[in-house]
Amino acid sequence: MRKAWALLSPTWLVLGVFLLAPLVLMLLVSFAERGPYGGVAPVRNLAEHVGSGAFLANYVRSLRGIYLMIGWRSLWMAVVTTALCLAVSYPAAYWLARLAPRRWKGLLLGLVVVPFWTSFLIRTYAWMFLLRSEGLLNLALSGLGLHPVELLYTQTAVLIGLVYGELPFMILPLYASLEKLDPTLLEAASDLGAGRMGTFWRVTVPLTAPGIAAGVVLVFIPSLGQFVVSDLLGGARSMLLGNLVQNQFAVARNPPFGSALAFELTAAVLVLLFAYAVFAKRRGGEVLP
Amino acid sequence: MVWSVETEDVRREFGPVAAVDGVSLTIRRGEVFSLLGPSGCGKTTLLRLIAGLESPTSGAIRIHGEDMTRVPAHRRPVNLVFQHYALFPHLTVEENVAFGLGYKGVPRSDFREKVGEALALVRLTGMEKRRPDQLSGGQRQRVALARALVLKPEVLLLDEPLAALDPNLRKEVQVELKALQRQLGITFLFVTHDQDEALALSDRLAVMSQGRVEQVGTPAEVFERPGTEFVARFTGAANLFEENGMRFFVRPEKLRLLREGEGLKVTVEERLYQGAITIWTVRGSSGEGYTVFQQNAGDGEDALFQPGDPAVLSWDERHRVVIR
Repeated sequence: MRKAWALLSPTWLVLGVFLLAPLVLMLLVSFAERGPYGGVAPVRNLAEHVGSGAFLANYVRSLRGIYLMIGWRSLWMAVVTTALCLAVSYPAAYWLARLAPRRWKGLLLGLVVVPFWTSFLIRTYAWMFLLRSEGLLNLALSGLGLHPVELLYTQTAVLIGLVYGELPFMILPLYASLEKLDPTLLEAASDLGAGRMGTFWRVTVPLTAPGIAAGVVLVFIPSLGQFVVSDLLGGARSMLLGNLVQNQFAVARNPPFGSALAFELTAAVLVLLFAYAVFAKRRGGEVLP
Repeated sequence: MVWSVETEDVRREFGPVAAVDGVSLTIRRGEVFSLLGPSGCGKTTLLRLIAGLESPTSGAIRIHGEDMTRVPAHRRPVNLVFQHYALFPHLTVEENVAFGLGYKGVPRSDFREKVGEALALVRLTGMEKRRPDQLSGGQRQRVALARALVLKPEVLLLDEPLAALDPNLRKEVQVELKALQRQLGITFLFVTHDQDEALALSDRLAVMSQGRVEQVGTPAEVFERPGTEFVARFTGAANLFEENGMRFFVRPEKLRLLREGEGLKVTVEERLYQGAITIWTVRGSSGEGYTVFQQNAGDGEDALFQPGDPAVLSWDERHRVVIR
């Protein structure tokens, strides 16, 4: 036991200093009020602050219609992003894992990861150049004699940016689980009378469920807190939770409210992760492929 | 006569290699037929061609008289018991066995009854709710059998069904399989590399080598009258003799080792007493080695010779197998 502690102590130290301590700090700040000139106002009478329920003011405020709407929109965007990522990634991962020529596999997998070599911010800026009115996309469209489309600063542009950014996080776990899938099981299904569709839905999908679940978690959670994409590609009307939190710290200078919002987001994510862990455990499988 | 399976000059090439190189076979309804050969001889590929999991480069495959050459696996009236069983790990025993029933047009309300019958047939009643990873190797194999048999195939294909079992279990399962086949009357097509297994189980068998069929016949025909040197060697130990430029084989159990008399003069080299038989290794005057199986019918036969003793090897004319 002493040995286990010794081996785990660096991890505990990192988690404690960089995760747990900030979380506690954030929770405490979320109970405070904004100072007259921004920042955190010092609490003069702790007993009264807690007794009057004033410490929950930020959480109460977060339930106002406008914030609920932003929260709902963020949730919806995250769901759609995850669904689109899954729809795009599954065929790609399937092809990579099962059909691609063996000697190309390493290279192709490398290409999935290549975008990480460039900063996400720069890649998102690149999308601005592609999507804006005189951007590459519209040049191509008008070159083909088609009507140009107004994409930049719309919800669609945010969605494109989100899906683009999260795609590798869906492809990789799907690839891992599809790679492990025993091809004789697919042959067995076909031998027993299942066509392509039957084999896919009754064998391939259930057996790659751990990969699907892992990809969904890896994509859904970051999409829920995203603010760079919506900031650069979205208009004023596509503000997401991430932007709202960032605004409270950087623009409104209201860390207590920002902390409350961030804490709610963190709690929501933890609930989702817990649900995922329960799901993974019930299947008797590993938590990540 | 309607054959269960007919292959007509079937070829399957993988790149420059012909895994199956022009095989024509006919398998009768209700017989147990084995494809016997060493690994890489094309027997498994031929089985997969019949199952529809591979398509032939050329040639035709007919099942119960119907051309199946281009029919996909899921529409063929044959089912395969995979070498490692290929049970679906996410499904229970019951769900595994029921997997194909819907595709056969069996109404859902009859699934339970059919699955129950199939599991009773392989003596797995009561295991319905288990998952494959909770079963022993032998039980998994029986699930795989039930899963195929419940669909009442025209031919049951079995790919090395005993190879993954431990040796003690193998004999037992051989007996069970044979009883099951007699009970159901379904054509069984086995693939095996084990000559004892093929001889024991089959009504007829085909010995394969390098993608071709070397010989087809009953176990006794193939064993007693091997048509080629390969068949003679592969179906059991064989002694090669040469007399006046003619080459022939004699099986070790057909040879007699005598103290004196007519025959080939040899020197006893080694004695392996095995209880039921004694295996003698002897050497001729020019150094060629022979093996003799001697039945332990009396007592003390193993002590007849000592290593180094001179002896005479003799056999009946009718036990000579002449190879072209």
